Amino acid sequence: MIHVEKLQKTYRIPEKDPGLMGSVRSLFNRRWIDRHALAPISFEVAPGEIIGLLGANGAGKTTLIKMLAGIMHPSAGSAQVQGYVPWERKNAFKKQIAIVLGQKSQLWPDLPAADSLLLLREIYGLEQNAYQKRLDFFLDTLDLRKLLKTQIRRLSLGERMKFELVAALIHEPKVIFLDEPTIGLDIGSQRAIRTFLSEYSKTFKPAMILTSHYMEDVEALCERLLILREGELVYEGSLTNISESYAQGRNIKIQLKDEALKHSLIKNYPNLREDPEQPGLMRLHINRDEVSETVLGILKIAPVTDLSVEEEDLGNIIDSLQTSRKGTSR
Amino acid sequence: MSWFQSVLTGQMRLRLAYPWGFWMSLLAELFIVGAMNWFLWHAVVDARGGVGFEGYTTWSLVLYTMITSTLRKVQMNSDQFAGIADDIYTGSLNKYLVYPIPYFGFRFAMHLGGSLMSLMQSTLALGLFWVVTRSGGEPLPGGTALMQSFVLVFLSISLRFVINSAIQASAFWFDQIWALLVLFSFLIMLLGGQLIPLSLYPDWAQVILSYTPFPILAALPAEALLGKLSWPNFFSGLGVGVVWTLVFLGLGHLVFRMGVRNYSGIGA
Repeated sequence: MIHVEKLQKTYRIPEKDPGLMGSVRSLFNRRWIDRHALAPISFEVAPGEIIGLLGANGAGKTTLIKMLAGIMHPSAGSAQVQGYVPWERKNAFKKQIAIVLGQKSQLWPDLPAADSLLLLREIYGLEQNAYQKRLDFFLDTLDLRKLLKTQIRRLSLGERMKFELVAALIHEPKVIFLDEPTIGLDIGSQRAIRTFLSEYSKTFKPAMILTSHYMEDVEALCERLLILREGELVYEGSLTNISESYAQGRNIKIQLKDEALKHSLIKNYPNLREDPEQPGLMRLHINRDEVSETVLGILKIAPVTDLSVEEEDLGNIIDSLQTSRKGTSR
Repeated sequence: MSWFQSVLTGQMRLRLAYPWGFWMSLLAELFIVGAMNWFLWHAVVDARGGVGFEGYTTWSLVLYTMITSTLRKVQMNSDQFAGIADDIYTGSLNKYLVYPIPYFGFRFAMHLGGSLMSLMQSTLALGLFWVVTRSGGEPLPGGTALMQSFVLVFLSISLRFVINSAIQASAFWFDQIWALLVLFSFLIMLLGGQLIPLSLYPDWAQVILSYTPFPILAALPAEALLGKLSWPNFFSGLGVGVVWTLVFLGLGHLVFRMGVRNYSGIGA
């Protein structure tokens, strides 16, 4: 469905010295620098799969999505989406894809949503009955019927995003690119969009590529992740494997029966710290190979009322993959 | 209804929803242009000892400039004037690139919808002025004048759009194209006969200009409406206009196809 082979993008951008003289000099002698937005990247996405495309700002996520949607041309490499080369922008290809850019509206702000959707029906050449059936499904699922005749510019951000999704999905695309669809939304709207996308994916089984900075989106929707760092693919694999591969540590939480034994424990485990926000709760970060030995050791020294061993937070692992200079995993 | 009709009628409805801005600027412009030219041409004719210009009375000169001024408003269609360049600069082009329709076609439908609404309102204003003032006895346009001018106005709207599109597509390379659009507007004023009829230019200039796209954008539709365009001149102007429209249509497409390879969709 999506096949990407060594796709890369380099921007050529002008550079000028600061100040008035710099501006004058750049008029006659403009300097150009190459900015590598995306190093050669290869992957595949199967029908019905939702891929999470993660990375810090400027990592190349949106660049990749724009190339796969046919908006941008790559500098090198190849890609096929539904058997088409995206940047050739054939109409048959465009009818099979949809893109939702969370930071850019696809709708016409001066028109009511109903008019925008009718226009999209004409643009995609949808048959009236099929269009009405799908529209009814979306209006009922997303609870939008009462807002259909309201001008887009008068809707809240959450309502607008729901209509963005309807507009993007009305022609039943086989491939959907979602670039930060929940950005800026309140928690309730985020949850509604996540639930809708999850249900939509199960029912219609399109291939989806989702970018988001919210871990909740990723955990709720994505089974597989691509993590980009400064344009390079640093992780490709399942969401569950990421913990096994990268969660080398464990957090132990201990609630002591007798506070007086705290100092004996700290003497044996110098990394043990008391939680400043929850007095009496002790925390210890250890290597995952040392769990049994450490727990037994603690219990020998001090009886506890509660003890738990937790994996490292998934968000922290992904964040460290996005930003640090660790080794890569493919 | 096709997408073209949907976009066109949608734009017309949009213009109808906010008519006051257009009416205010139209009436102000007609009043200023009309009054200024009335004083100007009276002063010129008086300075010539009361001798007018061949084929034009003072009133018809005033009407001529009011027509070309109105035509400029119809063609410019302010909300669409720099639409293509804005789409490129703001990243709004993204959505049009993923729709299975031609981008220029979509923009042309918007442009035409806006222009048709402007044309209807301008015709009403100009017609009322013509009837109420009687325009110094200038006869109202007959069937031939109306038909010739309608065809040439439609051609001028299309030609202005394709020329603007070709200029605006250069926004893929340049950070600012406003100056080019303003320069083009000045060229129409000078070479298209927007300020004074081309028949007042030297013969050699008239011959050269007749092969350029400029007279179709101002002089020819105005001359047609005033009943001063012969059929041979109408057809030759029409032919030249169609050729230039096709030339700029091709050029615009070429520039766009080349430019979109550099497009990064920034702003999205």
